[in-house]
Parts: sequence; structure tokens; C-alpha cells
Amino acid sequence: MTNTPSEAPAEWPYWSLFLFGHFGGASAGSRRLNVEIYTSLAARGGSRVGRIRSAAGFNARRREESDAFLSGTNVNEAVDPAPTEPLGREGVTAVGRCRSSESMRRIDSFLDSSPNGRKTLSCDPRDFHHGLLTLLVGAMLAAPWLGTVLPGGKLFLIPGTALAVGWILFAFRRYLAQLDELSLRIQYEAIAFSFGMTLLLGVTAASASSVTHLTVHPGWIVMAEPLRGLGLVLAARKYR
Amino acid sequence: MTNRLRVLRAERRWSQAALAGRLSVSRQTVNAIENEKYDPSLPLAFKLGEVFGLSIEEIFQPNGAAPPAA
Repeated sequence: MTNTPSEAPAEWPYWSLFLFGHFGGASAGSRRLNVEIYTSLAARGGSRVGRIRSAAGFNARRREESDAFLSGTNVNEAVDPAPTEPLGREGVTAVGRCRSSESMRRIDSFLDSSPNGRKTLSCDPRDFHHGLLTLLVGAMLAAPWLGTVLPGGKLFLIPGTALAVGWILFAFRRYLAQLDELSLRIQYEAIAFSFGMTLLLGVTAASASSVTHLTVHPGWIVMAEPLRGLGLVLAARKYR
Repeated sequence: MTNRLRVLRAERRWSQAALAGRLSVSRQTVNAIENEKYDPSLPLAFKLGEVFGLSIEEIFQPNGAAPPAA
């Protein structure tokens, strides 16, 4: 059965919304939304100079002023603490590397401050530019689906998908390149968990389909991403 | 593996973040090594030795082994 321009393939809305929302909208610069992979879109791989690598996002604790006081029961925090991280829990960029640009200042003025008064927006203008690029890729990915409504949109199906997937892989690889060894290990364990669980759940659902009469949609592979998130939580807790 | 990282760090009055900065790793990594949840790679172990001015054996010991006499 072929799709006519007025007949949208059923899976495209889900794929487009998932990928567009996942990698596009949240990567436009806000650190508050940039949990984990979103930072990949802002990460600068290759150079490790002057940077403090992320400690797997949610497992890293932000240093506060109160860390200056030495606890009587442990010596985790000495009297000479490092300066408060300027960019929150992710704390990726060293202070000396922060630069500003007119476009960032404009965006910054529209964003709320975090509860402790610090701006949650990254000071690196490349975050913003990468976010815009990602939005563009997301839009291209959505184009085939839109193209089923708008004539001629199917021309973007293959290049749009290839560009989006390629960009996501490139950004993720760059994100991994700037992690330290423990964070990298946590990421690898999460990927292994995700792979195993997706396979296990997929095979189980497929095997049960003869009994339950439920079919496994190819879009099931999208489940790998939330499962990777679950794997990250479990792996990060293990090393806490 | 057991290690004397916490003691060595306290002797120098360094915070975990300060040590992490010297090692170019995250504070979480230093914390995981101190709590013996994670054994560092060989390059990081050498770097730790370099930062503290000690050999690896003086920082890390196999479980149950006593640290070598100075």
C-alpha cells in the first residue's frame, strides 16, 4: 500500500515528535533542561584544557558556599573548597572559558533565574548555535511527515533522517569524548543496560504476540532511550 | 582495593573538588574512589601518585594488605 500525499504514515508523528522534542527543543541552551545527552549538543570534544568534566548529570552535586565549613564527622570537605561551579550541576565549562555574545545576551534576558538566583543558561554561545542547528535538524526530520500534508515533502525523507541521525550520533560521541573515566563507565553501563532491556522486552513482547495478539511496532526501539535513562540512574547510584 | 586517599587529602586540607581539579576528573570520581566504590584506571592511579608525591603502592593496597612502610 502506498501513501498518497493526504495519507500520513502512522508512525511518523511519533518519531518526529519524539526526536524533535528530545533533541531539539530541550537543547536550545537551557541548562535546566539540558540533562545528560542534551549537553552533548553543547559539549566541545577534543580539548580537555580548562574544563571540568560532567559527573553524569544528576549524580553530581553542586558545590555551594556552605561547603566551606568542615564537618566534624568527616573530612569530605576541607576548609579550602573549590569555587562554586558557575553553571550548576553539569558544571562543564571552567569560568575562564565563558564567553558571551549578543545572541546569548538576548536569549538570556528571556529566561528565568534558578531558585538560588543564578542564571541557568550556559554562557557559551556555542550552546545556543548548536541548539539552533538541532532545531533545524528536528524540523528537517519532521518535514517528511509534514510533507504528507504538504505536497513534495517526501523528498526530505531520506536526507532529513540521515542528517538527524548522523547529527545525534556525532553529538553523542562528542559528549562522551569530554567525560572523565567514571562518567564514561556510567554511560557505557547505561547503554549496555538499555541494549539488553530493549532486546529482552522486545523479544518477550514478540514471543507473546501469538498469545496476546499484540504486534510489536518497529517504533519500539524508541524505548531504548528511556531505558538508557533508567540505566544511567542505576549506574550512577552504584558509584555514589 | 583499599586506599588512603581520604587521609592523604585531609592531611593536605584539600577538598574533593580541589583534588578533582588537580586530577582533571569530576568530584564524583574522587568521591567514588575514596569510598572504594570504584578502582581508578592505571593512568589515573599514576596521576594520583604524582599529585601526592607518593608511589601507587603507598596509596592503594589490595584488600587486607598493610600499606608499605615509609
